[in-house]
Amino acid sequence: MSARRRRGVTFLEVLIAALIVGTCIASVVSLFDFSFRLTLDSYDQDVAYTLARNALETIKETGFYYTAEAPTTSPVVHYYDRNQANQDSRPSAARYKVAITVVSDRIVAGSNPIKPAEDALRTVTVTVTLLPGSQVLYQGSTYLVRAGI
Amino acid sequence: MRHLDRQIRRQRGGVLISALAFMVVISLLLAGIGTLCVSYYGRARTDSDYAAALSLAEAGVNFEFRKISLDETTADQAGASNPPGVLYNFGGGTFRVYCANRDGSTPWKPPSNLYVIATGTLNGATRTIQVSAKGYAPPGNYAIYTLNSISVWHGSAVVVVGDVGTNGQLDFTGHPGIQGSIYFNGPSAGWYGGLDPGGYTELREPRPIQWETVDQKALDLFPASTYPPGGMAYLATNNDNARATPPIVGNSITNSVTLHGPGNYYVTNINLAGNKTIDLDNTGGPINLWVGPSGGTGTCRFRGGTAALTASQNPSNVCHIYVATKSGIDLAGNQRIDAAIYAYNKDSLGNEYGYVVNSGNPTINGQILANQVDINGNITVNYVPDLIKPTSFGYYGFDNSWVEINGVNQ
Repeated sequence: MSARRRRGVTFLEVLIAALIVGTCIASVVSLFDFSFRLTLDSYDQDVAYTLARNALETIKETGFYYTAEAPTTSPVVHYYDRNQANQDSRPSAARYKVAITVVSDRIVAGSNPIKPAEDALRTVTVTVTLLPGSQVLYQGSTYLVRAGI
Repeated sequence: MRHLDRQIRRQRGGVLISALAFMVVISLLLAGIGTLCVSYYGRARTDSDYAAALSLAEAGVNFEFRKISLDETTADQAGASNPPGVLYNFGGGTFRVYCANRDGSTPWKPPSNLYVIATGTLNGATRTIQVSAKGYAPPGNYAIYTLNSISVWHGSAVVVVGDVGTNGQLDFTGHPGIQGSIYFNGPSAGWYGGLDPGGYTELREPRPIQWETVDQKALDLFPASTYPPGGMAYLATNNDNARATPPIVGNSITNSVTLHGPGNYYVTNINLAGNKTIDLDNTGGPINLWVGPSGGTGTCRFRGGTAALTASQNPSNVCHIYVATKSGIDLAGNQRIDAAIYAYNKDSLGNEYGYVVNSGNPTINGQILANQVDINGNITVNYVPDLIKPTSFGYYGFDNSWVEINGVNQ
C-alpha cells in the first residue's frame, strides 16, 4: 500500500467520524430543545394547577354566601406571569389566565347582584389557559353549598 | 517500513472507535435526559390529576350535603355495588358518593349524624375522603312562628324583636315593626296572595320546619307506658293544681293565682280580667301550664288591664303555656307574659290546629308558636332564645372531621 493511499483511508475515517459526531451533536441540540420544551410544559402544568388550586381554595375561604356569582358569559379573570405574580393591571405581560365561573342552580328571586338561594348548589369551575393563545392547561370544578367543605 | 504499517493500522481504527464511543456516551446521556424530562412531565400531569380528583371528591361531599338537606330520604346509600355508592359525572371526571352512619354501618338512618364518603376520579387518579356531617337547626330566632294556616296581621304599632317565620303564609296590614327577618320555610310559604308589603328582610328556606304538637310534648314528659294513659289525658287527672296558691279547683282559673315551679298545671278554662294575674313562681324550677283537653273548645282568655303571667324569679327556669285546644288562647289585655306560648296540635286525622289571637297591648317575653296567629292589637314580642325547639333539621353540613382514606393512584 502506498503512503498516498494510506493517507486517504485515514481521511475517510475522519469524515465518517465527523458525520457520527455531527449526528450526535445534532441529537443533543434536538434533545436539548425537546427537554427544554417539555420542562417548560411541565413547569406550566405545575403553575397552572397551583394557580387553579389557589383559586379554588380562595373561593372556599370566601364561602358559599360571599362568593359572587360569575356566569360563564362573564367569568372572573385574573392574569399571572411566569413567577405567579398577579398581572391583572398588565395582562399583556401575563403568561397565564385564570378564569373562574360560579353558577348557582337556585337564586334569590329578584336579587341584583344575584344571590344564591339558601339551598343552592353552586358550581365553581376554574380554567387556566396559557397565553398567548388558548391552550387549556388545567380545568377543575367543585361544588359549593351552605355548611359545605 | 513494517513499523510504519502497524502504526497506520492502529490509526485507521482509532478514529472510528473514538467516534463510536462518543456516540454511545451521548446516546446514554440522551436517554437519561429524555427519561428524566418525560417522567417529570408525567409527574406534573399526575399531580394535576391528583389535585383535580380531590376537588371532585369534595364536590361529591357538597353535592350530597345539598341532596340530603333537601330531602334525607333521597340520600345516596352504599348499596350493593362495589365500590359502594352512587356514581356521578362531573367536571370531566366522576365522583362516587354515599352516606354512612357514624359507626361505619350502612345504610345511613336519618336524621342521625353521619359520614359522607366520596371518591373523585380523573384520568385514573383517585382520591377518597370521609367527612363527618350533621344536621343543623333551622336558621332563625323566632319570636313568632306559624305553621300551615294563613296568618292575618293588623296594626302598625306591633313590635316584634326577633324573627318571624312560617310554613304557610303571612298577610300584613299596617306594616308591623319587625326587628328581625322574615323566614318563609318550605314550598308553600310566602305572602298571602303574593302581595309583598316590602321593607322586610326576607329569607327563604327550602324545607318547612317541623314542630312537635302539644299532645306529643305531653307524651314526651308523660309517656303512656310509664304514666298511663299518658300525655294530656294523664295530666288531666295527675297535675300540680293542688300546689297552686290558692289551689286550682275544677281545672279553672278565674282569679289571681300563683303557680310554683317545678310543676305541671292543667286547666280547661282560664278567664282573667281586670287586675287578675297568674304569677309564675319559678324559683324552684320550670313551670308548664297545660290548657286542654286536646281538641277542646274551652276558654283561655286574658282580658283587662293587668291580667298577666309573670315570671319574676328565675329566668333560667323557663315557663311554657301549652294550648291543646282548638279554641286557642285569647290575649286582649295589656298584660305581660313571661313564657312561651305553644298552641299547635293535630287531631286524630292529622288536621292541624292551634290559635293565638291578640287584640290588646300585651308584652310577651318569650316565643309564640301556633298554627295560626291573628294580631289586631299593639302586641310587643321580645324573643327569648331556646324556649321552644323544632324537631326537624334545617339542613345538613360539615361537622368536625375531614380525612382522606385509601388515597391511591391507579
